[in-house]
Amino acid sequence: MTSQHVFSVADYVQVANYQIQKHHRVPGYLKGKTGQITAILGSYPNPEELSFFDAKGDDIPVYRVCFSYSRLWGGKGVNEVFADLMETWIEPIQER
Amino acid sequence: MVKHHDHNHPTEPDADNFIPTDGEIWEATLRDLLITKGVITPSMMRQQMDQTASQSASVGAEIIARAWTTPLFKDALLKNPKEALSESGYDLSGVPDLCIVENQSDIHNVVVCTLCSCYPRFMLGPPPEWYKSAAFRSRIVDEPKDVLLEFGLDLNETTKIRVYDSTADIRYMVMPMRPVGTAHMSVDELKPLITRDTMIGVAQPELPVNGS
Repeated sequence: MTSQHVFSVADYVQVANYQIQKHHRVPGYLKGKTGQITAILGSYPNPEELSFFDAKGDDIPVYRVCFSYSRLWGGKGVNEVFADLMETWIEPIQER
Repeated sequence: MVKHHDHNHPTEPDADNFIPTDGEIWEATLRDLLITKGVITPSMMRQQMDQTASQSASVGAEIIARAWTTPLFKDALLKNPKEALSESGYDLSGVPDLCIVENQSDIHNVVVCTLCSCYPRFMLGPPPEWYKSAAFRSRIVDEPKDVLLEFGLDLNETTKIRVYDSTADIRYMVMPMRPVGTAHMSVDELKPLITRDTMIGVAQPELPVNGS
């Protein structure tokens, strides 16, 4: 099972910023932050469903997203954080 | 006649002589249930534990040493690690997808899993305790330079630190830079320089001090 990916490499995207009570695979410090997609890593079963033995849907595209220090924490800094995020947690950019 | 030993010494408590945590109770209950229902056997359980604990960073060290000495293998490894390793005869059954990130003179990579403790066990063995600690997981994404300094790694001010947070199905490992002055060394001579920590990214390979 594969699904089409919505976003492309070099797109700026925003990590969805909401809370769910069950198991979820996105770090809290990235919620609401803006990053740039650097790679499309393929599609994987949704671990948030798998953890309840309930992965019925299509595999979810996973993207490698680069977050600059300033976008994460404010201030200056050359360092970067790369995280692998499921498409279900990524939204089109609201603002640049 | 032996003198009667009439006083008590303080005793060190047994490591497992504590009230079990909720997680330990869950694990024991689940394990009993899986065995009772015939999903796994105690022997399968022991074999898996044995295999998991027997993996070690020597696999990663060999892979990196070969990459340092064989440019074609290095290129293939950086491009598609599982394919390159499979073609070299490694058994990758059950191994998650891998990504190897190469350090450069102005870019230093370090790996973390802020959500739990995802780790390239196939190449590095079981993760160290500090890798799983809340302190490392929360601080490395926020103040990587300071954390690396606490590990004894004093990076140049201009070096960009890239932190790879293993949040999904891909496991990350760092390819450290080959130290200057090792051009004459063979794979077997290079391997001891490539330690677990250099492949997590909290250290850099160091040449042995003269005379050792």
